[in-house]
Amino acid sequence: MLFLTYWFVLFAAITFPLYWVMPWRPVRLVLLFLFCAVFHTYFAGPAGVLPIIVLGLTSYLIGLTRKRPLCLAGILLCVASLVFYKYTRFLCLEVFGSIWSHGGLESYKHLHPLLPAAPPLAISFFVFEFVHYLYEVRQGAEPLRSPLDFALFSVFWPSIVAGPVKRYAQFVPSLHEGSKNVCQRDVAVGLVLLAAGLVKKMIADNLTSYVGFWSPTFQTLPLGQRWLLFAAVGFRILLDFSGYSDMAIGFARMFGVRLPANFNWPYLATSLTDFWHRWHISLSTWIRDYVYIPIGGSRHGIVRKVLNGLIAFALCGLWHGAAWNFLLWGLYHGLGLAVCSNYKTALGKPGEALGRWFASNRIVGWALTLLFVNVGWLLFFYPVPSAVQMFLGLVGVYRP
Amino acid sequence: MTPPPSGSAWERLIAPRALFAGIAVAFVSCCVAGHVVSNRNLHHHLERFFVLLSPLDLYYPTTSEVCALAHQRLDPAKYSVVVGGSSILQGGNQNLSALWTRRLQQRLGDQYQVLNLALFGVRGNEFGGIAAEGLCRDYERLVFVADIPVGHWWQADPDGNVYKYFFWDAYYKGRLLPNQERDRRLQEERDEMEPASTSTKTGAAAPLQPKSVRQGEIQREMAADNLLYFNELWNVVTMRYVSTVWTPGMRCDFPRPRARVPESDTPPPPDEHDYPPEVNATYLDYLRGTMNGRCVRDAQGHWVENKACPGWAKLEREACTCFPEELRRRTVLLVMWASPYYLRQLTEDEQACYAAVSRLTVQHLEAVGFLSVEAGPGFALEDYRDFVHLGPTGGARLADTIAPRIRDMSQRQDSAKP
Repeated sequence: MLFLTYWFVLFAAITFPLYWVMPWRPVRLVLLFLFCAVFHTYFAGPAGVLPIIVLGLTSYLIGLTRKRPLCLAGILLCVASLVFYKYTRFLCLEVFGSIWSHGGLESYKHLHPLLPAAPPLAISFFVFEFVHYLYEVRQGAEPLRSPLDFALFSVFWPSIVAGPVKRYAQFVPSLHEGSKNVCQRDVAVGLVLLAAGLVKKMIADNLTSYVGFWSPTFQTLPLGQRWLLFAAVGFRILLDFSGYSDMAIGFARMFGVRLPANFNWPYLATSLTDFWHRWHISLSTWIRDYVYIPIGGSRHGIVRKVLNGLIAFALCGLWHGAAWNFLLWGLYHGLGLAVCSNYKTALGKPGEALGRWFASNRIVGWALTLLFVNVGWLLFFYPVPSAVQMFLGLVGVYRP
Repeated sequence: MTPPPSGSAWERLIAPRALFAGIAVAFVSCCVAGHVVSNRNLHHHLERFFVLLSPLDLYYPTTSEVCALAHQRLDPAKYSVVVGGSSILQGGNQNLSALWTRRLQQRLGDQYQVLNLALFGVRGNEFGGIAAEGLCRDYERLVFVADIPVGHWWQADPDGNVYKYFFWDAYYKGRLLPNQERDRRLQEERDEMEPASTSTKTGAAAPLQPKSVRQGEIQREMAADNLLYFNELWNVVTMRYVSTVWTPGMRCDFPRPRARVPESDTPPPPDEHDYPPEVNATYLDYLRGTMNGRCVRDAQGHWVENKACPGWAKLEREACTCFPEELRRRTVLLVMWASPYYLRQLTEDEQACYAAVSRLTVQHLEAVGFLSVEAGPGFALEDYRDFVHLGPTGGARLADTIAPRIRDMSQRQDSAKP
């Protein structure tokens, strides 16, 4: 948690006042960029910064040309970098290795020396933002001409580590507005968001300890405590992630920059579709706009719609981590969403009646959604066999 | 700054200036409160820092807190015996009634006051030793007791191993005694490389980074705490009012204040020993490793010091790094033997070598100013609970062994006075 280091506290204590007291807007932006560069270099190290500089510079220059094939090439380069840094091991050892273990191992042995010990910091976020930029430019949107604007869009420190995933058309005007008109209210609102984020993070960390302690003995716990642990897992991830997002949005606001909200009371959703409109909004809309719709969306009949949804959610799952359980978590949600959004048409009149019943009994929809989402978190957090055992333990049918 | 733009409903409710003023007042109040409470003793009935009062359970005693405890417990007119060292001296396998430091207090009598500051995982002079450094100035008649294993110093950095935070807390609060050797090592260590703590899911080795990167974060925290006293305030809150952190140790009591969760006095079952067969070979290898090359046979076939072994010079150097000269003169350093359960599995020749290494360890420690005592020869199998930890009978035997030596040291201190 980079925001909870003393280095960061010192960094923030120096950078914010400097930004506020600087009377000239262009210098403010340059200062902000310098702060971002220091932040990123400190936490990512030179080896982590270099790939981002290369990808950022390439994306920027390609964007200026506005040539569709080049934009496509840029998108492919970004995706290839992400796959290389984050998924090489998974693809070689887990995917390829499951088909041909010797080949998987050998290919990993060859690629391993090229990989750094850890993927560059926040490469998933960088790549998603660059892909978004190049995609929009390829579709005819105006590219960013100012290198400073592009650099700030790329490395704006509040959103580097855990988002929200920014859109340049929304971010850059807000950046300019903020650098011109940052006011006391912005700072005050930012501080309140920061405080809210810290409180959420503190609760989340307590839940992390609780979950970490009891999980290994899950099957020996009384049924009631198993369900308590099950709920703790769900609240832990919500509070941890949304707390971090609140802090990021709060810090940005203290610069006068408004980042989009990332969470909107997701556990009050009354359907899975509703949940994905409220959970990690910047990621889900990114997946919708740059994966789901480009591969066809809902335009080619129900079978393609379901398939496209599964592909989009599988990628969404893998984005969270290079492991089978993340992939399964994504597919689980893709399947759930396919059922949720198609059951009325697929079942005909009974389906429509069921839909009406859910509409008039929203609490049932809420409970089912929460249950579905929380079962998904078991897949997200634990290896698949453990997740299955825990689920069976919840309904009292697990026998060791 | 320009007039505020309109925002959402909750944003409009915020009065920025009032909020800033509130934050400033609250911040300053917390700092002042932390400063005020930093010299108050939080542990009125403490016998030892048990698990719930240790970093093992995410409770981090501060140097101010430990010194406040000592100042309340120890009368400068009497002899003060501060026990530091590891879980062996903490008495981890002894219930409170059978705690060896109680026995030590009885053996020493009313003119002595024993304070147990030993803690789990402590190496060298960590925690208790650092506290003793801070107390040396206030207590002329202070004896510090710590432990090391036979043959070598614990592998530890000059600022400690597990309790680095405590060292830097004392450093910034000016509670350390001068120690040039330690300062030199700290300076050298800044440039040494270590694996970065960044966890990776790739299974690859962590990248290397200078130790100063990790140290820097602890140092920044403690330098800030020296000005703002947030750790002190937080410990008062969690000790007296409410625990804010869920921990395994507090699982049945969270969020009760820790002061209301005293250590229980349940005696361990009399025959509870812990000698897991799966680690037997590892422990035997460890014991053989402690002897490795440190002794050679003389013409008569006796084990004597191997002068060519660099381990002995290293032992002396590490001892001087961890203990300032003034503290060395006041320290009884126990050379703790392993359990006879393991020693008896060594050959007779190896056992003789082990005993020789132990004697030589004592000699080398005394050469740099400690009073050193072997603790283990003559102890029975029943005195141990596991590889190194002592049960109630072992604790009593330990107290009996070192009480006379502590008296010796006290008299030595008295006679050294002008």
